[in-house]
Amino acid sequence: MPVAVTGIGLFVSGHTDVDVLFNTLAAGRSVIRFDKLMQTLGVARIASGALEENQVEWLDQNYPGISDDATSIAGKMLFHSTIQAIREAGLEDIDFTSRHGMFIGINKNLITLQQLYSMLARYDIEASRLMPQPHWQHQRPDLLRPDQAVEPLVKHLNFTGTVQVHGDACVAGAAAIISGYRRIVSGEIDMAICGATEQASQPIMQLMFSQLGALAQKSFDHAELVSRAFDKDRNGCILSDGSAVLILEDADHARARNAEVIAYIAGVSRCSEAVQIVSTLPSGERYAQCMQMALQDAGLAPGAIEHINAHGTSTVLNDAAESRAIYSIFNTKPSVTATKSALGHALAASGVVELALCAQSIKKQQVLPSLNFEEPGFQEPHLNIVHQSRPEPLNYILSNSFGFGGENCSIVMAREQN
Amino acid sequence: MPVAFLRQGCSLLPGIKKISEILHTAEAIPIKTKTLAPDDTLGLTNRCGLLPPDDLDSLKVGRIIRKTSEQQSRWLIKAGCETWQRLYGEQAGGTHTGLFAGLATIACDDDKHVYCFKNPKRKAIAATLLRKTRPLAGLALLNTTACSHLATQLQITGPNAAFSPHADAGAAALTEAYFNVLEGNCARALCGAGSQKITPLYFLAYESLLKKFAATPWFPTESAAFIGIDSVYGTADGIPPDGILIDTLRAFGSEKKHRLPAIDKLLARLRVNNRNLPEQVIHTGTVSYSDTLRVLTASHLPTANQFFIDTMTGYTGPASVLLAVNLTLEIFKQGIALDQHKTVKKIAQAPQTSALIIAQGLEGQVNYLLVGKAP
Repeated sequence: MPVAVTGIGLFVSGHTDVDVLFNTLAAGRSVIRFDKLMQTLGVARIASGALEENQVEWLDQNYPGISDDATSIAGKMLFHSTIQAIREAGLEDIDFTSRHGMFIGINKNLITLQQLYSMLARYDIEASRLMPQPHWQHQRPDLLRPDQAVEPLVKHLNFTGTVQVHGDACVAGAAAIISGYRRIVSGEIDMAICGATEQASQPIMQLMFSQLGALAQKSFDHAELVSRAFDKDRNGCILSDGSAVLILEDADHARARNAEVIAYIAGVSRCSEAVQIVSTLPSGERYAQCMQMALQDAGLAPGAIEHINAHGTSTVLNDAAESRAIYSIFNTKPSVTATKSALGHALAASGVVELALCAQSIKKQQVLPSLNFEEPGFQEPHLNIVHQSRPEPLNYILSNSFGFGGENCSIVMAREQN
Repeated sequence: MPVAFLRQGCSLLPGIKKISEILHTAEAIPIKTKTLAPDDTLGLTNRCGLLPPDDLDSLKVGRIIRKTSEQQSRWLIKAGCETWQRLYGEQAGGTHTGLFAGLATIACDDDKHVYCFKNPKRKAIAATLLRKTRPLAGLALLNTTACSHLATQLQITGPNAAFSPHADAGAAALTEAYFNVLEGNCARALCGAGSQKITPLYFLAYESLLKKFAATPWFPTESAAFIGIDSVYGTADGIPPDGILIDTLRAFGSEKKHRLPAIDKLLARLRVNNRNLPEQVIHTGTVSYSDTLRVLTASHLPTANQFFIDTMTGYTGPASVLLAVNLTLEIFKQGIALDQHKTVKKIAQAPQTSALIIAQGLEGQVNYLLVGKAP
């Protein structure tokens, strides 16, 4: 059963919709800046794609129902993306039923540092005083629950179908898309709200990546030069905030209501690597396996893929493995871009943000550039990396999401129904 | 109506060795820990069920797994590996095996000093968090660490999915595994879930929220449980399955406290397919309105025995659904029915053919899993 994309919503640093973001990226601009919050914490020159200062206020003003501290920033971004996607799909007046599903990826719903301090301070005081106090509710400890980010949305939409919250590390968003896609293909539901959200620039998340050695360490004069997927001088990823939502729909269902189809999902794959938590096989064999499974699911030969939106985090080992994997299957035929070079890595949200950009590429028949790529690393293949945005005939695009711990997803997006 | 074949796996609960022990204990909440939590300023030992730490020695895991797994992951790894060994021996998983897990949020405070600040100031916190934590602490913070280790240890390279809302992540994992097996994406699935490790941070963060929903008093318990799901009946060695998964349904109830959303739809599907209504109901994610839930369930399934598993085990979060499946398979094996009034259970010899597990998530999500006796 063909599955159509009929709506897109998005929220990332400095951008509140996918069209404007696409134009920014097409112009070769980056949203990456040196992180001000990390600077106030005494850690200078950490680049990130954190939201701009006024963006949370913007969300609060536009969605007063979730403007209090009962909803996390990740939840607020998701709320906006979903409402926008529903609106774009022409579904504002829909009554949700059990024929609809919601599949959302989010790893951590992190509380603010101030809230964390308040909790931690309680560690070292007497047990009797550790009991929750009347003011405890105001600190909203329940914000720790990842699914809490989804809750305001479910209530607002009066959603009565399946709600599924994925926590599959960097592939959580792509995994959510795949779950929604499969439920539509199986005929269980007609439509799925699939998306993800993550406030990955939160300092605790930066801690995690810093400790892993995955965060970019080398200093560049300009923050926008730090993320450089596949380039020889890359030395780690940078983290960013973001959310994106796609409305997936049974193509017949979309046609029946005269919905505009932006693109189609043609095939998907999701698999475990079982190699090692911190690295994949240097040959890229497991990444290649994932991409081949997606091609098989779509019923396509490698030659059909014209463009690839790579996972491309700018980490040394994973980019090397991904470039070898892409080369082993596709050689240099498809153009390759890694939009994390301009956006940073929004973890769970990254896969959906990138699919949203792929859909725009199909709609506009235009590819986006991979910033800061000059030449590949030692003994890495020369891929057909896009240096500047350009028009390109696009029928099939492959999008990769490869997570820490070896959880991999590849998704094929198509211009026309197969 | 296509079904998936279920195989009973390992259930880790404090103080008991096998799930069947739940059937033969007289205490209302038998899961009391014998392990004293070090530095127990909150008195958690008497307020929670705590699993003992596990060093994974019995599993021969590698150095990386030891180094990058904290206790919460280790319980999952132990339960998953023991289930696999029991069901599939030394076989490697391969591409035809899927891994599906419901996870709690990992707080990574095995060592409270990582986050302990007597005089919290922003710069001090940054210095400590970003510069002084042990190497690879970041990895342990990832929820999916346990899944990665399990996949590596068992060489599972098929489809996967991990879910992390607290109450019903296990139900989400089981549903996803069921669909992946039925749709042929994998021939077998290792499916499991683990509860949150109970730390002062967790206890304080959740007590105020969960005590509204949970049985009184709120008694959280650490746990992990796994099952096997196969696409074909029995093993190559002729060992039959322990049960079948007949149907699943997930729905969101807008009036969360007094509804079993879409249960009519599920029961209608059974009638259409000429299947008997379930004789046994097991409720998980037990809520404070269990009496209401009992009455409402009885209005749909008047002759079914009802059992509230959380009143026996304590609140086990994502693990509760997998515990319920393992308990259901045990009930089938022993040919008994399990009924309950308040916290007192009653057992009667009564062969069951199917049981409905009703897993309440937080805020209105309800998961139905219909488990049948193996044909």
